[in-house]
Amino acid sequence: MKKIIAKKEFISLWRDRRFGIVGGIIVLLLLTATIVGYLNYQKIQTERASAAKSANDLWMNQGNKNPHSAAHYGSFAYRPKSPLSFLDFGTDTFTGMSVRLEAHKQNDAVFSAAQDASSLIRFGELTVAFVLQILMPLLIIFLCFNAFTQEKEEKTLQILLSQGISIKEVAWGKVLGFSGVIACLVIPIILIISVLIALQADMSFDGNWLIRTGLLALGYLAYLFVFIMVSVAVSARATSSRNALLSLLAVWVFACIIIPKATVNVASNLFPVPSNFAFNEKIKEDEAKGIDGHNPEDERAKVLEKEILKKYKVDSLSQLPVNFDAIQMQEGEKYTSMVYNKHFSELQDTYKAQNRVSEMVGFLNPFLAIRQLSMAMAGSDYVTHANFQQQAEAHRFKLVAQMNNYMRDNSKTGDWEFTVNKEVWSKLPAFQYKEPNFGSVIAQNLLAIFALIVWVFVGVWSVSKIKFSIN
Amino acid sequence: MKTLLTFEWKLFVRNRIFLLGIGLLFMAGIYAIYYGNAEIARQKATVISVQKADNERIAKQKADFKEPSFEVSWRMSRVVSNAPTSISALSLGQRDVFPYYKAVRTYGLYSSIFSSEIANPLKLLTGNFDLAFVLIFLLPLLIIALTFNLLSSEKEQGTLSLILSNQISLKRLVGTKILFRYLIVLVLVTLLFVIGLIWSGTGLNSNTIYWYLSTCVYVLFWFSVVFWVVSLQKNSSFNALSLLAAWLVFVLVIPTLINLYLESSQPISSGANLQRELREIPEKGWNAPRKETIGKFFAKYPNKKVDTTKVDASMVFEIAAIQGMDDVSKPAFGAYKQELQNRIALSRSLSWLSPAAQTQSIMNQLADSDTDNYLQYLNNLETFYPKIKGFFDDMKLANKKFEKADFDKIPEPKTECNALNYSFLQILPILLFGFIFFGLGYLKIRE
Repeated sequence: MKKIIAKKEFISLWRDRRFGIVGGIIVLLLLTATIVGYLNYQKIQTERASAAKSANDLWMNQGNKNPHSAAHYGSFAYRPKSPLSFLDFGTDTFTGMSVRLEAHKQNDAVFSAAQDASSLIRFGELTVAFVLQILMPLLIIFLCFNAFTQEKEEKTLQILLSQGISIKEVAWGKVLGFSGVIACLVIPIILIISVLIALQADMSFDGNWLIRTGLLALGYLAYLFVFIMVSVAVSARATSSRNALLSLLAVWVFACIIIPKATVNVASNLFPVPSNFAFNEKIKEDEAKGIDGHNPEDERAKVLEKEILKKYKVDSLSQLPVNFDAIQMQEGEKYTSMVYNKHFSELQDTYKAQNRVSEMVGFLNPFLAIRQLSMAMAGSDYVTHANFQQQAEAHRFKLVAQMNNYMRDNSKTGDWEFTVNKEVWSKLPAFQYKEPNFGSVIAQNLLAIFALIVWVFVGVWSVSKIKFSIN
Repeated sequence: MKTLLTFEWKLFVRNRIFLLGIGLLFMAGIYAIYYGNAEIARQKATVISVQKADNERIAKQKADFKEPSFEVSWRMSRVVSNAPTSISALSLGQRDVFPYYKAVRTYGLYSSIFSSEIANPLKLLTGNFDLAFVLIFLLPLLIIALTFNLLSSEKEQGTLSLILSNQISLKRLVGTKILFRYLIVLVLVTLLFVIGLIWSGTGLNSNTIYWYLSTCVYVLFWFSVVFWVVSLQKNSSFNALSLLAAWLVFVLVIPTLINLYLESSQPISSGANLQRELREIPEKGWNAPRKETIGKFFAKYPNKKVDTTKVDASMVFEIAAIQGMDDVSKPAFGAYKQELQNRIALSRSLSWLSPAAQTQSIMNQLADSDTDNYLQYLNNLETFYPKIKGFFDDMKLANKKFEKADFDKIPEPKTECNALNYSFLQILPILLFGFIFFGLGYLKIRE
């Protein structure tokens, strides 16, 4: 009997012209978002790859010079887009893609898409995630708001129940029917997306992208299923179609528009971040406590000098088999890098604490849970960006250290005329961004996954609690 | 007409949902005003602390000053800031995306011109809960809630024929009901606007008045959409769904589609390429032959020509080299700015497709919080840099050492951007949309 009801809902929706129009538009938007998103992704990827290549070419062909000058000359790290990021741009629009790597200085990641656009960008971008997270629930509300109220208003529910079927069976039949319709819209798109992902298999396919795609698909199906169940449950409790519609729309506005903003604002008040200025002042303050890499008069430099002389058992810098300037510079670099990393990881922790608030509120609002899960699986969340920044800084440190150490081992103190050639430059591997370990990605998003599971249970519970009262 | 209005008022006061909706929007508005002001206050406080630190540093340099020298310029920098104007608190726009203060040194601007301000990307993505958001996103929803059944409910309750039997035309009935609601919404908007003005400490000036007017026109647009839908005389659910669909299309779908189009039609900016290019310039500049560099400099700037036997040649080379690098960097950077400008122009030329996007664009321009304001700030940096550099260069070229008294002569940087010119014509597309829907509704209801 449940099946018959499901089938009836399914068929009557397919025959409904209004559903045809709205569903058609949504599928069209989904297709547009998928295809244009994918083409853009490919374009950006090619551009960044060629930027990375030319940065590396410049490094290799910088000519003969002193290794430390080469460290000042430095290089660049570009963040490649994650293979699934065309589905969900996430925070990528607001994070920089290029980091200048040079000695003594940690630079910001610059050139975010948002900085290259007018404020129109703040309306959001049409991505698969946008359609599935925001528009699809509206379509569901549109389908389900009168699932019960119409039967009540037309008095068909009594007739149905008089056939000996329980109200629960009716409810589940409806849920299944609507789910079938939504699945028919969404699953073909998921298949197209899977093909697109499989197409880039040769590039960066190491299995976990398959799991990521799977989790994304499951997450979205669960999210939409929750909306269907809640809508049907609301419709069963509402006194009229109008009330059902208004309540569901209010739920949608709060869940998808108001709560996310309010949550983020509250979180940023709970865990404030410093201004860039204050952040750098703090770093400068701490750096002043350490060794100055370029000043031989520095007190700590004198201590270091004594240590090194003792280590090599000589009494003057000129007798050292190594270059003390390079040692001092590297010590300075180590210190400033440590200071920077300390402050930077504090900042990251603050951001993570802020974002954790949104994840917690995911238990109250499934939109926040799916948004987090979706960004994380697509590799466009903040954590992935922070991971890139860390890798860029690690590469910068490696570059500088490699130059300083080469200078230390191959020249004498005070010999600033010492120059080296391409052979030394070629010892530094090009910057290669590695996606974060998949296990850690899952671990970070357990909360979001758990929240979605809880929501599925809440949905099931709300449908199975549907009662019938003749008013 | 008068009786109609009094009845509407009585019904309105008794309708819990109406009052609840208006109350909620009012509270959302108050929170948004508070939030916008808090954000702007934070930026203002940061600018003040940056300027204070800058002044203190110079005061300290002055206090510690020992003997006249040429070296001071290398340790000299001044902060050029882009402090928000008070009206920015009403619509934060892109204020949170761009850096708004920078220490300008005397030896090169372009290699360090790119930076970003600390902000949680998730916060940027989610967007600000400012008054502009409440007015553009939420207010239309309130309008829809207030109006979607203004005719259909009378019909469904069977009271419509009763009213129409009182020699009132349908046109007049709908007109009065809509006018009544328009006035209520206007009162609400005006109230929020006045509170916003007082809270942020902004006076009534042409910018704020235009900001207010654009809100009123946006509200008018939504009421004409409502008028059209109501004139179709369908049931309440149909009205609610169609109005919601209109909201979805104008507020969410068209703007995001425009963004998608911009992204694919306009290749991403050449910023990264420029950044690499700007790094090469000093690399070449410092390694160029000295004589040649100095010769080029004198040829290009004859009024700066000096006798190199009297002024330290390496100092002249430094000045000539830096000037030479700037002369190459400036046009490259100019091309980048132009590209940005073009992108903004393109997005402006498309945003009329959605009255919501157009209103947001107008609001942010007026509130000095759109990307143009950042471009203006970049121009300020580029104007100030030659001033502070020239000040030291001229002294060096005159072979005059920097003395303690010269601290007071260092050029003062700008702390705010000039207001930008905007075209009042931008309001026309919103009006036009309004007229179209009103016209459609009028034709329909006359039948």
